[in-house]
Amino acid sequence: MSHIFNLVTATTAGFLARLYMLRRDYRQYPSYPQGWAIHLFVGFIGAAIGAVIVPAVIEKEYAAVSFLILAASQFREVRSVERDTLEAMESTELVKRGTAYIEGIARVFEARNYLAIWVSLAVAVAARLWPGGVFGNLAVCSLVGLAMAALLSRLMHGDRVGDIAEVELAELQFDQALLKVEDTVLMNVGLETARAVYRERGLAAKIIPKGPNAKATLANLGQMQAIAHDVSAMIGVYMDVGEQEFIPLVRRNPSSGCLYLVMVPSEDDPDAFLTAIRRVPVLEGAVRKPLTSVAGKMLD
Amino acid sequence: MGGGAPIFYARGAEEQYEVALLLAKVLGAAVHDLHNGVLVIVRH
Repeated sequence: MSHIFNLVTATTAGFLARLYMLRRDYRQYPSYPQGWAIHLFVGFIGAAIGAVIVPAVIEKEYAAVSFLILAASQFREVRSVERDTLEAMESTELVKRGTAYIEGIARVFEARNYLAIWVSLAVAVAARLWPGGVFGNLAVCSLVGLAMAALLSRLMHGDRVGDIAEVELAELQFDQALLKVEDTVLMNVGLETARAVYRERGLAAKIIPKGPNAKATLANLGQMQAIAHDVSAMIGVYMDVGEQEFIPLVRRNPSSGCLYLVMVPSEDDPDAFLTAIRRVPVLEGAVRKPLTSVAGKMLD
Repeated sequence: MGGGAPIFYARGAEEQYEVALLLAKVLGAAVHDLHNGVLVIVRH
Protein backbone atom coordinates (compact mmCIF):
# COMPACT_ATOMS: atom_id res chain seq x y z
CA MET A 1 0.00 0.00 0.00
CA SER A 2 2.87 2.33 0.83
CA HIS A 3 3.98 2.19 -2.79
CA ILE A 4 0.60 3.11 -4.30
CA PHE A 5 1.07 6.86 -3.83
CA ASN A 6 4.53 6.62 -5.32
CA LEU A 7 3.33 4.62 -8.33
CA VAL A 8 0.35 6.82 -9.09
CA THR A 9 2.25 10.11 -8.89
CA ALA A 10 5.19 8.91 -10.95
CA THR A 11 3.01 7.27 -13.62
CA THR A 12 0.85 10.38 -13.89
CA ALA A 13 3.93 12.58 -14.20
CA GLY A 14 5.39 10.41 -16.98
CA PHE A 15 2.06 10.29 -18.77
CA LEU A 16 1.64 14.08 -18.58
CA ALA A 17 5.18 14.52 -19.89
CA ARG A 18 4.32 12.33 -22.88
CA LEU A 19 1.13 14.34 -23.44
CA TYR A 20 3.10 17.60 -23.34
CA MET A 21 5.60 16.27 -25.89
CA LEU A 22 2.77 15.09 -28.14
CA ARG A 23 1.27 18.57 -28.17
CA ARG A 24 4.52 20.08 -29.35
CA ASP A 25 4.72 18.23 -32.63
CA TYR A 26 1.39 18.96 -34.28
CA ARG A 27 3.12 20.24 -37.40
CA GLN A 28 5.62 17.46 -37.74
CA TYR A 29 2.92 14.87 -37.83
CA PRO A 30 -0.75 15.39 -38.56
CA SER A 31 -2.66 15.18 -35.34
CA TYR A 32 -5.37 12.57 -35.39
CA PRO A 33 -7.25 10.94 -32.53
CA GLN A 34 -6.12 7.36 -33.22
CA GLY A 35 -2.47 8.36 -33.35
CA TRP A 36 -2.86 10.22 -30.07
CA ALA A 37 -4.50 7.21 -28.46
CA ILE A 38 -1.65 4.94 -29.56
CA HIS A 39 1.13 7.23 -28.41
CA LEU A 40 -0.52 8.16 -25.12
CA PHE A 41 -1.06 4.53 -24.26
CA VAL A 42 2.50 3.55 -25.12
CA GLY A 43 3.68 6.57 -23.13
CA PHE A 44 1.55 5.43 -20.19
CA ILE A 45 3.19 2.00 -20.27
CA GLY A 46 6.59 3.70 -20.32
CA ALA A 47 5.63 5.92 -17.38
CA ALA A 48 4.40 2.89 -15.42
CA ILE A 49 7.69 1.08 -16.06
CA GLY A 50 9.67 4.08 -14.80
CA ALA A 51 7.46 4.31 -11.73
CA VAL A 52 7.65 0.61 -10.82
CA ILE A 53 11.46 0.48 -10.86
CA VAL A 54 11.84 2.34 -7.54
CA PRO A 55 9.50 0.13 -5.43
CA ALA A 56 10.99 -2.96 -7.10
CA VAL A 57 14.50 -1.93 -6.04
CA ILE A 58 13.30 -1.10 -2.50
CA GLU A 59 11.66 -4.52 -2.17
CA LYS A 60 14.90 -6.08 -3.47
CA GLU A 61 12.99 -7.60 -6.40
CA TYR A 62 15.95 -7.46 -8.75
CA ALA A 63 14.41 -10.01 -11.13
CA ALA A 64 11.49 -7.60 -11.53
CA VAL A 65 13.89 -4.75 -12.32
CA SER A 66 15.53 -6.87 -15.04
CA PHE A 67 12.13 -7.63 -16.52
CA LEU A 68 11.20 -3.96 -16.50
CA ILE A 69 14.36 -3.07 -18.37
CA LEU A 70 13.55 -5.84 -20.82
CA ALA A 71 10.09 -4.36 -21.28
CA ALA A 72 11.62 -0.99 -22.04
CA SER A 73 13.43 -2.49 -25.01
CA GLN A 74 10.01 -3.12 -26.59
CA PHE A 75 9.79 0.59 -27.33
CA ARG A 76 12.09 -0.01 -30.27
CA GLU A 77 8.96 -1.35 -31.96
CA VAL A 78 7.49 2.15 -31.84
CA ARG A 79 10.12 3.33 -34.25
CA SER A 80 9.43 0.65 -36.84
CA VAL A 81 5.66 1.12 -36.53
CA GLU A 82 6.03 4.86 -37.15
CA ARG A 83 8.38 4.23 -40.06
CA ASP A 84 5.97 1.74 -41.65
CA THR A 85 3.02 4.10 -41.28
CA LEU A 86 4.82 7.07 -42.78
CA GLU A 87 6.29 5.00 -45.61
CA ALA A 88 2.84 3.65 -46.40
CA MET A 89 1.48 7.20 -46.53
CA GLU A 90 4.37 8.48 -48.64
CA SER A 91 2.66 7.61 -51.92
CA THR A 92 -0.24 9.88 -50.97
CA GLU A 93 1.95 12.96 -50.55
CA LEU A 94 2.17 15.46 -53.42
CA VAL A 95 5.65 16.36 -52.23
CA LYS A 96 7.48 13.40 -50.69
CA ARG A 97 8.85 13.54 -47.16
CA GLY A 98 11.84 11.42 -48.10
CA THR A 99 13.31 8.51 -46.14
CA ALA A 100 15.63 10.69 -44.04
CA TYR A 101 12.73 12.76 -42.69
CA ILE A 102 10.65 9.65 -42.00
CA GLU A 103 13.55 8.10 -40.12
CA GLY A 104 13.95 11.29 -38.09
CA ILE A 105 10.27 11.40 -37.10
CA ALA A 106 10.28 7.70 -36.19
CA ARG A 107 13.33 8.20 -34.00
CA VAL A 108 11.75 11.16 -32.21
CA PHE A 109 8.64 9.13 -31.41
CA GLU A 110 10.73 6.31 -29.95
CA ALA A 111 12.88 8.70 -27.92
CA ARG A 112 9.89 10.45 -26.37
CA ASN A 113 8.80 7.24 -24.66
CA TYR A 114 12.22 7.00 -23.04
CA LEU A 115 11.82 10.59 -21.89
CA ALA A 116 8.50 9.65 -20.29
CA ILE A 117 10.34 6.82 -18.47
CA TRP A 118 13.03 9.25 -17.22
CA VAL A 119 10.42 11.71 -15.95
CA SER A 120 8.43 9.08 -14.08
CA LEU A 121 11.61 7.53 -12.66
CA ALA A 122 12.80 10.93 -11.39
CA VAL A 123 9.41 11.64 -9.82
CA ALA A 124 9.32 8.17 -8.22
CA VAL A 125 12.74 8.77 -6.66
CA ALA A 126 11.68 12.24 -5.43
CA ALA A 127 8.45 10.88 -3.97
CA ARG A 128 10.39 8.22 -2.10
CA LEU A 129 13.11 10.51 -0.77
CA TRP A 130 10.90 13.40 0.38
CA PRO A 131 10.14 12.90 4.08
CA GLY A 132 7.24 15.40 4.42
CA GLY A 133 3.46 14.96 4.24
CA VAL A 134 1.28 14.13 1.24
CA PHE A 135 0.82 17.70 0.00
CA GLY A 136 4.46 18.61 0.35
CA ASN A 137 5.31 15.41 -1.46
CA LEU A 138 2.90 16.21 -4.28
CA ALA A 139 4.38 19.67 -4.65
CA VAL A 140 7.92 18.32 -4.80
CA CYS A 141 6.86 15.66 -7.33
CA SER A 142 5.23 18.29 -9.54
CA LEU A 143 8.33 20.47 -9.41
CA VAL A 144 10.67 17.59 -10.18
CA GLY A 145 8.40 16.38 -13.00
CA LEU A 146 8.13 19.83 -14.56
CA ALA A 147 11.84 20.51 -14.29
CA MET A 148 12.72 17.12 -15.73
CA ALA A 149 10.24 17.41 -18.64
CA ALA A 150 11.43 20.94 -19.43
CA LEU A 151 15.09 19.95 -19.24
CA LEU A 152 14.70 16.85 -21.39
CA SER A 153 12.58 18.49 -24.06
CA ARG A 154 15.06 21.37 -24.16
CA LEU A 155 17.94 18.95 -24.61
CA MET A 156 16.04 17.07 -27.31
CA HIS A 157 15.10 20.22 -29.21
CA GLY A 158 17.00 20.25 -32.49
CA ASP A 159 18.00 23.20 -34.65
CA ARG A 160 15.91 24.68 -37.39
CA VAL A 161 17.14 25.74 -40.81
CA GLY A 162 16.91 29.39 -39.66
CA ASP A 163 19.46 28.63 -36.90
CA ILE A 164 22.14 27.32 -39.25
CA ALA A 165 21.51 29.42 -42.37
CA GLU A 166 20.45 32.83 -43.63
CA VAL A 167 17.33 32.65 -45.77
CA GLU A 168 16.54 35.37 -48.29
CA LEU A 169 14.35 35.84 -51.34
CA ALA A 170 16.00 35.32 -54.70
CA GLU A 171 14.88 36.10 -58.21
CA LEU A 172 14.00 33.27 -60.54
CA GLN A 173 14.62 33.73 -64.24
CA PHE A 174 14.44 31.79 -67.48
CA ASP A 175 17.24 31.29 -69.96
CA GLN A 176 15.07 29.90 -72.77
CA ALA A 177 13.65 26.79 -71.10
CA LEU A 178 16.15 26.68 -68.24
CA LEU A 179 14.83 27.81 -64.88
CA LYS A 180 17.67 29.52 -63.05
CA VAL A 181 18.25 31.25 -59.76
CA GLU A 182 21.37 33.37 -59.89
CA ASP A 183 23.66 31.13 -62.00
CA THR A 184 22.36 27.78 -60.80
CA VAL A 185 20.13 25.84 -63.19
CA LEU A 186 17.26 24.19 -61.34
CA MET A 187 15.34 22.54 -64.14
CA ASN A 188 14.27 22.58 -67.74
CA VAL A 189 10.68 23.74 -68.14
CA GLY A 190 9.61 22.91 -71.69
CA LEU A 191 6.11 24.34 -71.87
CA GLU A 192 5.56 28.08 -72.23
CA THR A 193 2.36 27.84 -70.18
CA ALA A 194 4.31 26.34 -67.26
CA ARG A 195 6.98 29.03 -67.58
CA ALA A 196 4.26 31.68 -67.44
CA VAL A 197 2.97 30.19 -64.17
CA TYR A 198 6.48 30.36 -62.71
CA ARG A 199 6.97 33.96 -63.85
CA GLU A 200 3.63 35.00 -62.44
CA ARG A 201 3.40 33.08 -59.16
CA GLY A 202 6.74 31.36 -58.56
CA LEU A 203 8.93 32.15 -55.55
CA ALA A 204 12.59 31.42 -55.07
CA ALA A 205 14.74 31.51 -51.96
CA LYS A 206 18.44 31.32 -51.31
CA ILE A 207 19.58 29.43 -48.20
CA ILE A 208 23.09 30.52 -47.22
CA PRO A 209 24.80 28.23 -44.69
CA LYS A 210 26.47 29.89 -41.69
CA GLY A 211 29.84 28.14 -41.83
CA PRO A 212 31.29 24.78 -42.90
CA ASN A 213 29.24 22.65 -40.48
CA ALA A 214 25.99 24.11 -41.77
CA LYS A 215 27.20 23.74 -45.34
CA ALA A 216 27.85 20.02 -44.85
CA THR A 217 24.51 19.54 -43.12
CA LEU A 218 22.53 21.30 -45.83
CA ALA A 219 24.27 19.22 -48.51
CA ASN A 220 22.37 16.15 -47.29
CA LEU A 221 19.79 15.03 -49.86
CA GLY A 222 17.34 14.04 -47.14
CA GLN A 223 17.59 17.54 -45.64
CA MET A 224 16.95 19.10 -49.04
CA GLN A 225 13.87 16.95 -49.58
CA ALA A 226 12.66 17.72 -46.04
CA ILE A 227 12.84 21.45 -46.83
CA ALA A 228 10.77 20.95 -50.01
CA HIS A 229 8.21 18.83 -48.16
CA ASP A 230 7.84 20.97 -45.07
CA VAL A 231 7.58 24.27 -46.90
CA SER A 232 4.89 22.78 -49.16
CA ALA A 233 3.09 21.42 -46.10
CA MET A 234 3.21 24.80 -44.33
CA ILE A 235 2.25 27.21 -47.11
CA GLY A 236 0.64 24.94 -49.70
CA VAL A 237 1.72 24.17 -53.23
CA TYR A 238 0.11 25.13 -56.53
CA MET A 239 -0.01 21.80 -58.30
CA ASP A 240 -2.10 18.78 -59.06
CA VAL A 241 -1.27 15.09 -59.34
CA GLY A 242 1.08 14.41 -62.26
CA GLU A 243 2.17 18.02 -62.77
CA GLN A 244 5.84 17.33 -62.47
CA GLU A 245 6.85 20.83 -63.57
CA PHE A 246 5.54 22.29 -60.33
CA ILE A 247 7.08 19.92 -57.81
CA PRO A 248 9.11 22.15 -55.44
CA LEU A 249 12.80 21.75 -56.08
CA VAL A 250 15.84 22.26 -53.90
CA ARG A 251 19.18 22.45 -55.69
CA ARG A 252 22.68 23.17 -54.47
CA ASN A 253 25.35 25.48 -55.76
CA PRO A 254 28.48 23.31 -55.51
CA SER A 255 30.92 26.22 -55.22
CA SER A 256 29.20 28.20 -52.44
CA GLY A 257 27.22 25.42 -50.76
CA CYS A 258 24.06 27.59 -50.94
CA LEU A 259 20.71 25.92 -51.51
CA TYR A 260 18.06 27.29 -53.82
CA LEU A 261 14.41 26.47 -53.38
CA VAL A 262 11.95 27.17 -56.16
CA MET A 263 8.25 26.52 -55.89
CA VAL A 264 4.84 27.82 -56.86
CA PRO A 265 3.02 28.36 -53.55
CA SER A 266 -0.75 28.34 -53.43
CA GLU A 267 -0.70 31.83 -51.84
CA ASP A 268 1.75 34.45 -52.98
CA ASP A 269 3.18 35.56 -49.63
CA PRO A 270 6.98 35.93 -49.61
CA ASP A 271 7.17 36.48 -45.83
CA ALA A 272 5.27 33.29 -45.07
CA PHE A 273 7.48 31.50 -47.60
CA LEU A 274 10.71 32.63 -45.90
CA THR A 275 9.34 31.93 -42.42
CA ALA A 276 8.32 28.43 -43.49
CA ILE A 277 11.87 27.70 -44.71
CA ARG A 278 13.42 29.01 -41.49
CA ARG A 279 11.17 26.77 -39.43
CA VAL A 280 12.04 23.50 -41.19
CA PRO A 281 13.75 21.22 -38.65
CA VAL A 282 17.35 20.20 -39.23
CA LEU A 283 17.25 16.41 -39.46
CA GLU A 284 19.27 14.61 -36.84
CA GLY A 285 20.53 12.17 -39.46
CA ALA A 286 21.70 15.02 -41.72
CA VAL A 287 23.85 16.84 -39.17
CA ARG A 288 27.54 16.82 -40.10
CA LYS A 289 30.32 18.50 -38.16
CA PRO A 290 33.44 18.55 -40.33
CA LEU A 291 34.95 21.22 -38.08
CA THR A 292 35.38 18.67 -35.29
CA SER A 293 37.79 16.67 -37.45
CA VAL A 294 41.45 17.51 -37.98
CA ALA A 295 41.08 17.56 -41.75
CA GLY A 296 37.95 19.73 -41.51
CA LYS A 297 39.78 22.30 -39.34
CA MET A 298 42.62 22.47 -41.86
CA LEU A 299 40.14 23.40 -44.59
CA ASP A 300 38.44 26.12 -42.60
CA MET B 1 18.42 8.79 -84.51
CA GLY B 2 18.19 5.80 -82.21
CA GLY B 3 16.58 4.55 -79.02
CA GLY B 4 13.15 3.22 -78.32
CA ALA B 5 11.23 6.43 -77.63
CA PRO B 6 8.36 7.19 -80.01
CA ILE B 7 8.80 10.39 -82.03
CA PHE B 8 5.92 12.68 -82.92
CA TYR B 9 6.30 15.20 -85.73
CA ALA B 10 4.46 18.51 -85.65
CA ARG B 11 3.75 21.07 -88.37
CA GLY B 12 4.75 24.10 -86.36
CA ALA B 13 5.59 25.43 -82.90
CA GLU B 14 1.93 25.74 -81.95
CA GLU B 15 1.05 22.15 -82.82
CA GLN B 16 4.28 20.98 -81.18
CA TYR B 17 3.30 22.59 -77.84
CA GLU B 18 -0.24 21.29 -78.14
CA VAL B 19 0.89 17.68 -78.71
CA ALA B 20 3.55 17.95 -75.98
CA LEU B 21 1.00 19.26 -73.48
CA LEU B 22 -1.52 16.53 -74.32
CA LEU B 23 1.09 13.79 -74.07
CA ALA B 24 2.46 15.17 -70.81
CA LYS B 25 -1.03 15.23 -69.31
CA VAL B 26 -1.80 11.69 -70.49
CA LEU B 27 1.51 10.29 -69.24
CA GLY B 28 1.79 12.38 -66.06
CA ALA B 29 5.15 13.55 -67.32
CA ALA B 30 7.14 16.77 -67.68
CA VAL B 31 8.06 18.51 -70.94
CA HIS B 32 11.67 19.59 -71.45
CA ASP B 33 13.01 21.75 -74.25
CA LEU B 34 16.29 20.72 -75.89
CA HIS B 35 16.65 24.21 -77.48
CA ASN B 36 17.01 22.74 -80.96
CA GLY B 37 13.34 22.57 -81.83
CA VAL B 38 12.87 19.26 -80.03
CA LEU B 39 10.73 18.77 -76.96
CA VAL B 40 11.35 15.68 -74.90
CA ILE B 41 8.69 14.27 -72.56
CA VAL B 42 10.05 12.54 -69.49
CA ARG B 43 8.25 10.92 -66.63
CA HIS B 44 10.53 11.42 -63.62
